[in-house]
Amino acid sequence: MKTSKQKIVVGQTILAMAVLAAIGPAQAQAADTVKDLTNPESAVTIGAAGVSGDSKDRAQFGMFNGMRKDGGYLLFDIDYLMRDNATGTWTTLQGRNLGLDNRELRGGMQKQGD
Amino acid sequence: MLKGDAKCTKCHDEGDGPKVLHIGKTKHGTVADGRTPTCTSCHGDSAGHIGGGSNNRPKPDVVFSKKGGSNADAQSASCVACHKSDTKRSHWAGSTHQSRDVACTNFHTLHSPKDKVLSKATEFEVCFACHKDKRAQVSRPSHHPVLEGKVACSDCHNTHGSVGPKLMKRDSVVETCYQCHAEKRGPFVHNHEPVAEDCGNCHNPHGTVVESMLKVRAPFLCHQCHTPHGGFIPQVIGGQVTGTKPTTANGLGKGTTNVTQGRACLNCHTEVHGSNNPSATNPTPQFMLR
Repeated sequence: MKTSKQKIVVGQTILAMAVLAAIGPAQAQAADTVKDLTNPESAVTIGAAGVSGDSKDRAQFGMFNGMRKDGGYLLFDIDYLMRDNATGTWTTLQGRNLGLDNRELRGGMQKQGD
Repeated sequence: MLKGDAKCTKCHDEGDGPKVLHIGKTKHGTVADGRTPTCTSCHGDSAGHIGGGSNNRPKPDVVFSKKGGSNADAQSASCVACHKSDTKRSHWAGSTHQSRDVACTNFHTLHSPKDKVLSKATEFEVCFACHKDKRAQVSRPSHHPVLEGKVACSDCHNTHGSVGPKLMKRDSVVETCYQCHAEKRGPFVHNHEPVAEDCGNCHNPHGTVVESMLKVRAPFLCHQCHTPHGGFIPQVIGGQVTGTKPTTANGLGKGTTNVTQGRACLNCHTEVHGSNNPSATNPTPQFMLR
């Protein structure tokens, strides 16, 4: 009986491990999914652009977009967001048109409720 | 994420529109500040909706939707309940948007990690959804770079309400313009009164087909107030001038040059925003000469 009981215990352990093996990753995946869905995301956008032709034909085009001259341009934007859930503090860094003459870069720290 | 929302997320999930969990990415998505609202803080307790049967379930107490939603004031009340003390939003009550049944959620998307109206590059898309005439104006050759993402509507206007005209950010049009165009502020020895009164007398700040966003091309813009002199302007008098000292209504002034040249009035009157010329006689300073 004792041997048999031990077998049952082992059986339960194996069963539990089997269930964990089957469900555990799924639960972890679900937790990851919820985390992905509820936490701020950062993004980096990279591209390239080329401008050619007579600049007199595109005087308006180059007036504000930083692409006045012929040639290749780097299109590079960044959106960095980090949130400290304990303090509700947001750390942000935003960069727009970083490869162009009209580049903008701004950063900040904001606390929820302030 | 937010506490006390299980009764909502029991049924509502990412399959709904708007996606419920995405609010976790937003400023409302963390509870470090104890005043952070839950689902029911904004949508109401909605007891009938939560306890209702599957058939003919009543809507939540507050429904945020342009069509079929709660009335605009009820929708905005959820936001104003917390945000009314912000200095930028303290004039919402009685403002143009509020009095014309525009709700906060007509501008803002609360469940989205990217609220269009909070980004300078996309804010105009929200404003131009209604203000289509302004969309046309900023597309004209001379314009503030709104479509280019360098100037936002909110740089000049406070859509939440202000004490100035046209929801200006500052107390007047000129004070708002002076935020960037400080060199036009003065004080000047000799003022050009319309400048201190309203920049919109001569400029359309959204955009025009005339350089410097002038409403009308000079000299015709100037002639709306001033009697023409000097320059020969056939459109004004409809005839030819003979002699070096014209005697027509178009030529009774100081000038003897009978051809309007280039930028017309602005060739000589360069300091139209105000002159600091110390001379009392020559050149006559009160005529906005350099």
